[in-house]
Amino acid sequence: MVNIEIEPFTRVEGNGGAEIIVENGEVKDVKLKIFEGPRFFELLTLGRHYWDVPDLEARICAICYLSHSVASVLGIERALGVNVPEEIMLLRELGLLGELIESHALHLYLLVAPDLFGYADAIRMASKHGEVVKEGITIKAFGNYIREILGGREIHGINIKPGGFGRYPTVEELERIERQSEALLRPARRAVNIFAEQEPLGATVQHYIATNGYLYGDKLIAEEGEKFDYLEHVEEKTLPYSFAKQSRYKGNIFMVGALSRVMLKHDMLTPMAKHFYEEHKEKLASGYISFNNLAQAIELVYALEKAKEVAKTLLDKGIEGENVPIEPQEGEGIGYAEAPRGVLVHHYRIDERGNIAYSNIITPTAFNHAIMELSLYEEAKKRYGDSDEVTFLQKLEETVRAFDPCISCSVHVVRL
Amino acid sequence: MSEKVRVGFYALTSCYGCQLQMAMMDEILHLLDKVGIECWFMVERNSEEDREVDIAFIEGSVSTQEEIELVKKIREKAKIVIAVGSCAIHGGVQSWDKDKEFNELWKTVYGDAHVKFEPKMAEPVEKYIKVDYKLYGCPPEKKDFLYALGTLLIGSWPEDIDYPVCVECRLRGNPCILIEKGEPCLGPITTAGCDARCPSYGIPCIGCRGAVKDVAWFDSLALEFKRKGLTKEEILERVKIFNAYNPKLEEMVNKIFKEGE
Repeated sequence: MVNIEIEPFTRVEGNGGAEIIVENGEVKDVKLKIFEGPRFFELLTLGRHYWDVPDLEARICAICYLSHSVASVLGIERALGVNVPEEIMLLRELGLLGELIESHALHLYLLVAPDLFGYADAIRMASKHGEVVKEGITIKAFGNYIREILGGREIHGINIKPGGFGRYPTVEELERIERQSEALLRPARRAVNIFAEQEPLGATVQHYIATNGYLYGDKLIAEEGEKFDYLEHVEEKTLPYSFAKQSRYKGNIFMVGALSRVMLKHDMLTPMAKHFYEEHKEKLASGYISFNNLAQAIELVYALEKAKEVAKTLLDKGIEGENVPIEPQEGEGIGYAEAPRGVLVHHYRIDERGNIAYSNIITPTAFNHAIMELSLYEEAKKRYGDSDEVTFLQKLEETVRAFDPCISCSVHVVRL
Repeated sequence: MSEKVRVGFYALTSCYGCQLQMAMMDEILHLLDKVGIECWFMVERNSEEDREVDIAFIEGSVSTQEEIELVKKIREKAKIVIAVGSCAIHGGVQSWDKDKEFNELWKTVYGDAHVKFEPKMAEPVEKYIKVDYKLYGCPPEKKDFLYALGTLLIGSWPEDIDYPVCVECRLRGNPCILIEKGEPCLGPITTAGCDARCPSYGIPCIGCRGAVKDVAWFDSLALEFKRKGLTKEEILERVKIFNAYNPKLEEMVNKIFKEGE
């Protein structure tokens, strides 16, 4: 028996690796491992007043802090029976769009593109393909601008609160967002063509899960179209070799993320994004997880079109800037948001004084743990013995990278 | 400068926000010809933890036995060690409940599951090795990185920040969140440098840069909070988010509640 270790993964966020078990010249099993220390976020909020909770939960992840803030705020508001006006939901959506733009641009241009162009990293790639890298950095900076305005900071902002915002954006800021989204559409469209060239890698997805709205929702959906709460159909278990947990949908391995959203919710896409979906429909429908990158590129177009639309709507209506007052009361609520890398669940029970009595958080990388393992297994099985070791490991790393895993959530290089 | 300054960026248990913040800076690109990256897994494929460096940036809390060994190794190989961000400096949000029995916490979240690694309660880097400089914040501001790295690159030493957020908040002309709005702002005890970011968004400071050293008047602030109706537990809970390991915190807050009023 031979064990091949990949650790740590490179060009992903967080610290993870994999163990490939080979017996009699055949790949028998693959274990995906998360080496991050435990942080006990679910306990961090217990007994604490709901007001501070979104700020604490943002710290789970630097790349998708804003998705955590929004999921947290939605869960809390549902528990407290609070309804916020359309303006506040539109501003939250704009924040989520900013996060999607930032995160997808980082992943596609700086982490995945070097694989497609044959470079070790984006810095080395920049010498020959400076234009592409520069476009990526410009799009990413725009996503960060939105996060700073709506979220309060590029990383771990505190502006998104139960009932509303600390500060509302100004007309000038919204106008800038409207203008820049339009201007960046052209490079984003080019990106779709670049990532449409990727080869099929990994497992093929059999079950997709997403939220019922494009970037947030009050329920989950799967391919049958039925709406459900995560507790109804998703089970979680801990693993002996990792700090992350694994999930199943009705007993089956499933996927969350850009590919799931595009497959389940293409009806909600904006015109240009929908056009790209139609153009690449067959490829996407084949379900190979490497096409998650293509789905992300289509979503980049979606997010820029949508951000423009949302900014315009807000400008036309004018910002009222009124928060909804909240009276603490006993209740239970689940917030669902789409982080750039997939469904994020924040579930709370709150007591009559407004303190958290129970909390459960499930992150997209936890949801995707099983299908990441399966994808590594299938890719390793297909390639073992056929390709040289460098290519073998390179392809396995590309397979994992396609999930855009946030191992605290996905950037390291393979070492043996 | 003929030789490049050798730099390493190492991550312990964290959200990777500090290194992301540094990697996102356009200014970093201008420094690339002066700096050689020996180890930074997020951006450099050819990274090795074992190489000698001039400046080591460490992010994250020490949360496994393996990480204790790693920080010791980094200290041996580095001339200057910089602790970056709240986790490395104060243990981070994950250390807030350091007094609880670790095994109990483990059981509540992970049940009876066992793992191959040895997890432990999150601790600051300084508990295990000498730290030469600190970049406060969750995450630090971009200018913090630029100031420290720039100063070191010209062969000088960066100043520490020893005044609270209130100083910068007054300079920005914000209305006082603590006095005028009556909300539990931690600005008076928290290390400045963020340009009073959160109060400028109308939100009370949660203290992410940690208590300002030597002059954090936990007692005065606790008295103010007590007058507003907060209990001792509520005060400690709020201040401990980013100050769980501060040796003076509980004693100073206890004093206010012992004296009665």
